[in-house]
Amino acid sequence: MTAIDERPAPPEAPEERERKALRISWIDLFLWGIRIAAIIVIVFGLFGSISKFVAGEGLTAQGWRDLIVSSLAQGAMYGLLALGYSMVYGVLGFINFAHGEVFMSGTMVGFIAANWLFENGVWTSNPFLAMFLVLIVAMITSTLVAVLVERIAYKPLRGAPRLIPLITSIGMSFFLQYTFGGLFGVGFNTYPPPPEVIAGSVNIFGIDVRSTQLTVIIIAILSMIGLWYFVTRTRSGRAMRAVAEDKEIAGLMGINVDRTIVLVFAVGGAMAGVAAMMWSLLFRSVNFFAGFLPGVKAFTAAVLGGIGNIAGAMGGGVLLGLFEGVGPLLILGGLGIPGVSQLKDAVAFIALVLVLIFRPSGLFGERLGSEDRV
Amino acid sequence: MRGRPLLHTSYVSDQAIFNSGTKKVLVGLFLLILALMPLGVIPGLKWAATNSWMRVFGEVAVLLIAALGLNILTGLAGQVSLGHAFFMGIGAYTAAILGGPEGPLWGLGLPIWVWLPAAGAVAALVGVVIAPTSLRVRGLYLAIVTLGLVFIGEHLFRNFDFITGGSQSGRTFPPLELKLWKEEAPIVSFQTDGSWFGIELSSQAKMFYLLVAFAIVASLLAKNIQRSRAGRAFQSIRDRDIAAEITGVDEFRYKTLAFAISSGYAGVAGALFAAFVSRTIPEAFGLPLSVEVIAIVLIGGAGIVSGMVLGSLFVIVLPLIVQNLTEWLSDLARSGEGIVQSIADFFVATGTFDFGLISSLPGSSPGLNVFQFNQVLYGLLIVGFIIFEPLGLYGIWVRIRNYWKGWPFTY
Repeated sequence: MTAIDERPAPPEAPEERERKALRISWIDLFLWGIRIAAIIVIVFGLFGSISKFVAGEGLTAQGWRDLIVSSLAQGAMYGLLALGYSMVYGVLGFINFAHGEVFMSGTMVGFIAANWLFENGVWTSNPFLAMFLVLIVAMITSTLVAVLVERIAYKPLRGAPRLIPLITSIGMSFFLQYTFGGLFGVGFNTYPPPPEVIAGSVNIFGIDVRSTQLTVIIIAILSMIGLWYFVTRTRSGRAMRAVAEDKEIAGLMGINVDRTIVLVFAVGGAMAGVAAMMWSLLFRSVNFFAGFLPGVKAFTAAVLGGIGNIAGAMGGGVLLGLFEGVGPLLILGGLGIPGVSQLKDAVAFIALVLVLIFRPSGLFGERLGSEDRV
Repeated sequence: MRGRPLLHTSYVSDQAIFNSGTKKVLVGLFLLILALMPLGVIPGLKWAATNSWMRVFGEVAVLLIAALGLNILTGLAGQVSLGHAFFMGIGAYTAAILGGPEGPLWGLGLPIWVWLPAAGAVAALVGVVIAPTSLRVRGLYLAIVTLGLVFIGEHLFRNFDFITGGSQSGRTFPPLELKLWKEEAPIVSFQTDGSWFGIELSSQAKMFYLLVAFAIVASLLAKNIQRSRAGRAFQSIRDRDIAAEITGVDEFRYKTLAFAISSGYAGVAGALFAAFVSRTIPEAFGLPLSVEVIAIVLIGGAGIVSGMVLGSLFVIVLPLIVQNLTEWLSDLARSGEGIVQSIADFFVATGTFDFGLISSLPGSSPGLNVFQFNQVLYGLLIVGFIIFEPLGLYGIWVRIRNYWKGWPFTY
């Protein structure tokens, strides 16, 4: 009996090679089929919605405008959260699943602060100070949690295969969820109502916009400008970009790589804290599980915009917000499918799958370090 | 004459499933314990013959099958999939359509030898459809696409309530019994108490035997896949996909194959799981199930079949141990005395205003309740295992084995 039963494969005959070429095109065929189907669905859906709108059924013009603005506000929140995923992926090359829980910790501790301020009357007597304090508390909490997670679960694993920190991040996410659930109770906590100053709506260019949503969009723009300044104009920001580009060479150039990575987590955590504050304005109710879905969607947004690309993350967030807010009603509603607003979450993931099939590097292009570029 | 132990002089003996005497003895012992455990005759393991424990071990066997499937995809071929629960759901609902009781929900009432293979086949087919994405999107993107799959699947399962019964009531799954066709009385029923060969067995014990038999077949199959040409191809794709292609491994074909095998396993496991719990809601096939299976693979040791056995035992039994521990501690805290009582009291909250890490009271009170504590521990264990013992439980076993191999010398 021979020990090894494998012979080298005979050189391929020309027909064989042709067959192989055909098989690759079979995958392409499959992908093209999906693309064409997607386009048909979108075109028909749009057509249906427009005809419905013209016929005066469904939402009014004001209704659509409200929907778009609220989707934008939600998208801005996803965008800020997506920054954390995108930056960590750009530098370390893995998905920090626990980032959603970093956000959740911000909302939970922010709730305690908001409640305390509300009970002491600061919330009503001095609303801007109160909101600022809540923002600071949420940011500090999220930053601390993000840095701690990095220290405990990722630092010992520098240099391990990518899959490994992904799994520890799932573990950390479980740990954080249930620790917070245990510490703060599993029920929903409701933030005090937004202060009077931002309770009404404002008229901008003839469109009525709810003030909370406007506030959220303004905060998002401000923090984006701050982040842009930090990343492009400061020394630490430059160090971060260098580490994202190539860790080894950045180290040789005298950059403290470990400290820079901690900084990346801290900045991502701070942005998650800002997003937590926005959540408190938009949705008000939080529980220990609140980080999961926004986290997954924010990651979707990061991929949508091109992972590792900071501006792309924000753009991807806004697009995802629009897509899941307006998309189901505009496209699926136009096709006459009932109960479309329940489809929100599924639509977000279908959007992701489509983007990955159409344009795997994201809409605005991915920016990866030297090791991740293939 | 006997040569040096563990010296393999031929490829065949090196590649044998049990390539050392120790393995044969240990596996034989393990099987013997499995066979005798439900009878309650093993001293020290009599507690395991109770119905509740039989049920737990049945669940271990089912999740072992699921984990073996994921192990082929993730452990051997290196493709991270978070979508295992989706394939389990596909298998479960295929089984339900084919084998479920006829009634308001779809169900044809066919016997097990139809619905079980069909569950595997349909899930494998869906896996083949998903597989091309794994060529297009690599690594972590694949994890996210498969994560999306779980969400889309959960949504579909919830809305196809004429099959799944919706999330309020769920549906009844086919019973575990052997029939030729649709006749009234089954040849062998695993879900009623009765006697086999003159031994009285509870339904739980019977189901345990059935599921363990399936798990043994699944393990042997997995081990053989690992040793085959396909298994080696999977491992080469895992280690370096470009190098694998250069050496002649057709990446598309083998990735598709890995997906098909893995989701086929998941389908069978899902069908058995559904039949085993007999009634469940669509949410049972959500992300937590996927994470549980991934945890088994990683805690057991990715890529190692015997690791899966250890992993599934660990992951399923751990929550029960924690629960028992909590009960024991709270008993101590209530009735113990001295330092033992104060230590127990530190860990367990027995009253509403009592401080403690774990709370033994229902409802909200300070401290984590048993379920939450389990989840926290679960998360910490995943992190801890990966940081301190990347090879999982199997790695610990290897260290113990190597220590005794050289004993009393240090190396």
